[in-house]
Amino acid sequence: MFLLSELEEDALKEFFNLGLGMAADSLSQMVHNEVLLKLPKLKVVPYEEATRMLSAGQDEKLVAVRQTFKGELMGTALLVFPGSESLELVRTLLSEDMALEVLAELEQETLLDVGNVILNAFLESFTQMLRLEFEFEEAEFLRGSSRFLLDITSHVAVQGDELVEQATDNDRAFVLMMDFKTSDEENTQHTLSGFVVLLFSKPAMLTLKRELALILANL
Amino acid sequence: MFDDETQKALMEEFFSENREALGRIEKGLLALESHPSDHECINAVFRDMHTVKGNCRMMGFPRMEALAHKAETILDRMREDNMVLTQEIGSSLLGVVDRARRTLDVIARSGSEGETDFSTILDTLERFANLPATCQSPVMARCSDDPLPVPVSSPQPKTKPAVSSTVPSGKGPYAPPATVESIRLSLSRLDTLMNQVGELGASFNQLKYVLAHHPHHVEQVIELHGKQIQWLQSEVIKYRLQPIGQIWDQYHRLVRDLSVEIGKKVILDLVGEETEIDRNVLAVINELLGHMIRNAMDHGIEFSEERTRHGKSPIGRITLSAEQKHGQIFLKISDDGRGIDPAMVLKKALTMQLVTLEQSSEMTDSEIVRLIMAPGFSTASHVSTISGRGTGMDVVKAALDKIGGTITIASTQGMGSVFQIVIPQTMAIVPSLLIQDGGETFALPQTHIVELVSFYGNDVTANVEGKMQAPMVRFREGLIPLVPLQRLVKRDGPKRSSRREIERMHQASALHIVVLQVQENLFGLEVDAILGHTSLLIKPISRIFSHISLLAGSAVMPDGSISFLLNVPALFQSHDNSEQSKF
Amino acid sequence: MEKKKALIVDDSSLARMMIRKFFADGFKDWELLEAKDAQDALEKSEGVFFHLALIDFNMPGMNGIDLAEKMMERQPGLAIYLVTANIQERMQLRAQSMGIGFIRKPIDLVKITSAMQGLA
Repeated sequence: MFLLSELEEDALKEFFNLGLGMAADSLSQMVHNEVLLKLPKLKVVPYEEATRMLSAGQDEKLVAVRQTFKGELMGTALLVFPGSESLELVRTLLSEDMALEVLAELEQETLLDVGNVILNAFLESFTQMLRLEFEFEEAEFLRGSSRFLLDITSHVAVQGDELVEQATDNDRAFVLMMDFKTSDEENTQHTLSGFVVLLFSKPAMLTLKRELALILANL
Repeated sequence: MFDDETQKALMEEFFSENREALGRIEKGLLALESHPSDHECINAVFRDMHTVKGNCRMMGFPRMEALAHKAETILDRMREDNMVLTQEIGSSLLGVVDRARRTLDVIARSGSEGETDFSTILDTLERFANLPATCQSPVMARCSDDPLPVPVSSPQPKTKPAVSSTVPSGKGPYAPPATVESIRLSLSRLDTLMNQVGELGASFNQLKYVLAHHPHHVEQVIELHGKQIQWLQSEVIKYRLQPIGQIWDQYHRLVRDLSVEIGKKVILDLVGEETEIDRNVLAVINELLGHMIRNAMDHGIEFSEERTRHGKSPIGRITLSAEQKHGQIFLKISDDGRGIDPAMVLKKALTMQLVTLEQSSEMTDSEIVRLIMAPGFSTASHVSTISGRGTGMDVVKAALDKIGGTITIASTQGMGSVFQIVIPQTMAIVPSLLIQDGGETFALPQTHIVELVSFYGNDVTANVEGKMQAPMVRFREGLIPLVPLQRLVKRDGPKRSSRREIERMHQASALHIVVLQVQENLFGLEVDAILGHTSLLIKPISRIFSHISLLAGSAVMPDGSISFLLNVPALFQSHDNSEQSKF
Repeated sequence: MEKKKALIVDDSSLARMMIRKFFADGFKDWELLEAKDAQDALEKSEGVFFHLALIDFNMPGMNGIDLAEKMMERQPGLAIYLVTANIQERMQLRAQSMGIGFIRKPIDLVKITSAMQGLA
């Protein structure tokens, strides 16, 4: 199995930490209110396990914002929330006293905005630190089970790979899982958690590893 | 999608909100003509325009939406500092307001926005929107978007917000939470409320039926009805409660600002932010706590060097904690500073003639420390810029009295001080005991009542006696002070000596006593008659009476008369003072 | 000239490497003591006098502010900077009221340099 070295993983985590800081700043400005994003865990896992992690403890109704990126690094980025929490997230971000009907109407639009900000900030940290060039496609809003969200065949980057037919999904995709939280333990009123998932094809993962090694060597 | 009624309600909302927004936009634009760089004003106009746009989109009026959208684009450029409001742009935007208003009229008449063609004004607006960025106004320094690093030790300034089409008007980043004028209610809570109101309606119908057909059974139904109303009351009261954390957050900023200003190092710890308090009470204690934190920063916490010299951590600590117990809120403000020096307090109190030397010889240290809450008292040798401004602890005390709160001070020299405040959790509905005295009806809050005692005939003399010249009553194996309510309320009335008071009591055929507790002190209040328990909707005392601290609020009685809720801590204080003045 | 001492506490080895590189490039006269979390820092720094401490906020175990407090108790005049990418405003205010400075990640060379020069 393909894995990053401990140091590489540590570096990646630190990059994402920086990305998250930027994302939190942008969100805070966007909603005129403080948004804190915490990154407790980063895991590089095979496809099957990613599906399992996403669905663990959930009612399988998830909402997600998905953004594909192409260029020197290809992959798919997803921001995933439990479906039951998504309205609450929208409410947290928009306004306390907004009617539920209005919220439902704004749900998709808001999550797309939020997804854009968070995912871009994450990927931005790649371009800044790794000096890799890539472009984003337009973000889409999805709703469904973890299996549906991560469905390999729906991911453009993976589709583009020339891979042997028999290859299992596990060989074809590597998933970076990050669960994050808004706010912190001191103020539990509006704590929300979600996942950022980065789905890479095998070649993309190799590119990432190579770049990480390069940076670490220069330090 | 919606039924007719909802649709109608939505349209009404649509009209009223848009008309209000357009009115504000107009005013704002006119104001901007003389102050084109007033950012707050630009933001407000932008938000209102955004609201209009959103409303039109939601209700399906694309032409008007397009108009508002275009105007919003221009306002956005102003917000972002790359356009200045010229007279030309201003009148075009005012043109948008006029057209939008006319379209609203059309919609109101016909239900549709018609075929109105906005192309002329849209073209004009488009031309403005495409103008190159200007860099004229003084606020334009940010035009270059200079990515200079933020200076050390200063908060990251929040720059202009990123524009998002879904973000409604937001509060400024550091806007104090102040008083919130609306509350958020979950649908499930609203449903419970609806159900309860439904049941109330049902039992009302039952009441009507029973009255008509079985009038002698009416009592049971009324009882049920009463219970339902009570339940509803307590449910609604819950909605008035808000977590204290809402007002606490700003204290972090206050402490930061003060520590930078006076150069003291301090940590603020907040405990129990989830504690819920009535919104009205919240507003009062907000000011009060802010003041006490300033006091602690100013008088309590020492400078790092001094702390280190005394073997303490260089960083001072202020802890604010809130806790709810038995319908009361316990607030604690403690600091690990230098504490309060009773000798200093006494010296000052003597010069201010708050106490006599004689009186002070009888006072314990903690009683002396309490003198800092006497009107006009302030231990600082000079008026400090932080907690000065003529507002001493007496202001805190007065504010607390008004909401029926009490305060105790524990201070150890060199170690710090603890101020504990106890206030009722809710002010709105107070479970009370109605009593009668001197021909008037008063209410006593249930929270202070320990027991009701009535003595008749010989039992009176057996249980009431004089001790140190003051009437006392036997209660639970001990003697507690017995105070006639008359003596406290009618201060200008004839004053009997204590001996005469005891004689009068001994001659009475019956004596009704409400045993009350204020902190650890028990005392009996003698009243003419005990009427019964009830829950009263208490209104804050009107301003003409506000100087009478013995009254905590007023309530309208079922017969339309007004009764006053007595402030028990103040009653006790008043009794205590009159006892002390005997010396 | 005697070497100045700085304490670097960060759970990310990358972050520590970057700070180390920064010192190696421009401030060779500094001696660095690195720790991976608060516990580690408290153990390693026992009895050592520092001119500067750069502490990450988000760390497993004790957070950077609590560590800073402990360090100040040991050495009241120590110049401490929190180095962090993502911090809640109230934490920032808390640190500032303790007299702690801030350096945002990714670390800005201009800023860290000015912080260092302020020490001289």
